[in-house]
Amino acid sequence: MSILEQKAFISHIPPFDKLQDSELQTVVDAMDIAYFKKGEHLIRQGTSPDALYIIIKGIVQETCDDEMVSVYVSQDSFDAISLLDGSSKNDFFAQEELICYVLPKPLFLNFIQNNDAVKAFYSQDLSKRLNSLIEQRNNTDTLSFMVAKIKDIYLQPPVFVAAESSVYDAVQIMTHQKSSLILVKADQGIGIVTDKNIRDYVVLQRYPIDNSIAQIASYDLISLKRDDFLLHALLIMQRNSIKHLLIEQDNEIIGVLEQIDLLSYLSNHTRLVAVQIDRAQNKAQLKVASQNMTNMIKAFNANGIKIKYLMQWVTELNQQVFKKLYAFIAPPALLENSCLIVMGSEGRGEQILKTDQDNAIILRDGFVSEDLEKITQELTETLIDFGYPACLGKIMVNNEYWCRSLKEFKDKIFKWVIEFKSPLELAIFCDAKAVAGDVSLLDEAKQYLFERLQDNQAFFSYFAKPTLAFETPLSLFATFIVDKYNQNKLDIKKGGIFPIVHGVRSLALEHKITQMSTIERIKHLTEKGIFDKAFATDLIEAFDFMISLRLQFELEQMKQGEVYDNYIQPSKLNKLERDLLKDSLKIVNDFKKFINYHFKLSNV
Amino acid sequence: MFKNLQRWHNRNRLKQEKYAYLFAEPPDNEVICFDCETTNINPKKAELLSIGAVKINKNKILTSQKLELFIKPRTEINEVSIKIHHLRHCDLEQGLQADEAILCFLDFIGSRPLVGYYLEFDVAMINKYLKPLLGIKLPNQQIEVSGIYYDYKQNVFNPVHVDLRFDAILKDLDLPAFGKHDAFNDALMTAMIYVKLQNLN
Repeated sequence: MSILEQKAFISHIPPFDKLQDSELQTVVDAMDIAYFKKGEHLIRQGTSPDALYIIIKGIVQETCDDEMVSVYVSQDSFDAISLLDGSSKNDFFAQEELICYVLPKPLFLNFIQNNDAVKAFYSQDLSKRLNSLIEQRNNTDTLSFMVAKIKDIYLQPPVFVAAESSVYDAVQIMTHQKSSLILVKADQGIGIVTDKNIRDYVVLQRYPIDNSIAQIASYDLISLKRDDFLLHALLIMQRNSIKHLLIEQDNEIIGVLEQIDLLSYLSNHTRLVAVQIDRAQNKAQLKVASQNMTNMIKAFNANGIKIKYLMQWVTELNQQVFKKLYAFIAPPALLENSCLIVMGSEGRGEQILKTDQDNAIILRDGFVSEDLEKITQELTETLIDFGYPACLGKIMVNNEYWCRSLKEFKDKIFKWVIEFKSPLELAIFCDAKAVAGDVSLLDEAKQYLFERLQDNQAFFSYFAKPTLAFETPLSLFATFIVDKYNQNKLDIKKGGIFPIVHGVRSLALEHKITQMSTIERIKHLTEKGIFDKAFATDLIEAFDFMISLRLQFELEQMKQGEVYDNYIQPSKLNKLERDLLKDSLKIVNDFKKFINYHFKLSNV
Repeated sequence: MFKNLQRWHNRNRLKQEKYAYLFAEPPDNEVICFDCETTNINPKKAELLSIGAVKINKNKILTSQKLELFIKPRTEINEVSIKIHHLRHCDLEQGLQADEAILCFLDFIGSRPLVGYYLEFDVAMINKYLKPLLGIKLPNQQIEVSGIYYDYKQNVFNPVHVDLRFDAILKDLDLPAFGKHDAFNDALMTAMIYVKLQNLN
């Protein structure tokens, strides 16, 4: 580790990065350096600390009644809250030998009083800090299509012919080069010949094919530079009603930009995907549209679109794809007498990149469909072809266990609830959403589920138990518990996302909340007074942040051509992201405590 | 016995009674860590260019009470030493006279023990100016960190080679290095070595 001088070290650490140079100097002049042995206490519960500590080297653990609350590493500071409150709720001790800066309390308080930026930093709640993260990402990420440049997109390579070449020779070259256009070097400048010129002159006006190509070319072409914005190119084309632009670099023509390439590039990144799905006439077109969604997700993520809107939107599109596909494959009688449902993350509307399919069909009692096996098989296989991977647990329509009559579904529900059979299946079914066919079939099944659940406390405890199945990865190794055998990564799904999803699902089931999305469920539970408002907000923000963090890593893995999983690498996060993840995991811990108490899980 | 005699002798030679505090009982738990930058490594020929010092109270390095002095040299600084300490003539134009700097330094250290890395050289440098000025040599107790480090590493029963280079000690003790080598940063890093060794022993 190489640390420059004190001032340089401090100037990168929030909130000190917001200070003026003279203010920073005051801070540096007032700081001491302290050494603590392993196990030594810096702050004790109930006492009033007299300084803010900023770690140079070493690890500090924060505990509450011997239970770990958080861990601090190099560049972290603590504990602003105790300084502001005048007393510390928790113990802080050196988990390993520690060297840190010590900033006296009066000076720290003075800064908070007099500097609005610092004040805002400490009074910010989690959601504000998240917003500042998005700002930060916006400032650094230029992936956005709004700022895409001409060099980012496909250009037709320039193919030149001499002015005196015959039309016949020129067209031969075009065919050979598989190009729809050719450039002509003529006395009056560069000309272009496209299929349209050939049609207009050679076919309609019978221009002889042995005459010179220069006569039928269009001139006065507009050229742009490789570094110009794509949006600029689009405007130029529209304003001049032209379909081609010459692209130059260092006064040399390096390619031709065609309007059709430009539009298709932009359409990949916009809501036109929805239109594509809507207009799809067959499975092939639907597949293209569905695959374009991934590009769109990348672009929107880079634009800092809030993850909950992105999820809503992707869910909407996915369901349109399912609906459309079911209509292509299922005969009308089946469509009328069945309900196609999606379950798990897809049902909750929390799937962003395509993950395992979890789907089923509920058939009307007494209805028998011919070739049902063949139809469901086609449905499953097509979805796999579209990029929705097969479910390892075979929770798919081509498995007859998940393609049953309503009565058989009710029997299944009875077993789940009364006999405590297969809680995982019930959990997935809780999140079921109808996407095609007769919605009332699913409604009836869910109604039956709620009726069976009357005041069965033992069942709820049993159902909620998996919330605590995985340890929260906030602990001894530096800041986070990471998998040393897997490149120091941590599983954000097990460690953070799943506990929230399942805990909230259990509460929603207990309180007969029909909403499927975790965020909606939290909001309804708050309305019923189960959570207080501040906690609900934090829980939603933590959930939102962890999902977006997972997405960020998944997109990166995709870029590297790897299979995406639920692992993230804390070492690749910046300081703000690390802080936010720590905060989020703290909230997960609080939530687990709540679930443990609420369902009395320690007795199960 | 002999030490006390030397001390008494030294005290008798003090020219200005105002500086008698140098011989007083030192305050508990406090030491001074210091380092000098000079024009030469031979104290007889060298000129003092800067002094950096920091107070240590138990396990706390009081960087908020640091001393950083620059001294206007009386002779030309040679090129080789400029490359080491990055102090050019023009950087020291605003510097203090050497005698003023020495008196500031005395005020800062008082009677506290002195800590340093190859302290003998730094003390000799101070004494070179102090002797003509007040008639005495620094009476403060001297603590050599490389000595403590050697004792910490050395094994009586199985002697080992101990690397006493400054950077090697920092690395071995897993301490952060504070960028550039100037008098204050060196004093600060020496202070960290001292504090850590105090806790290891």
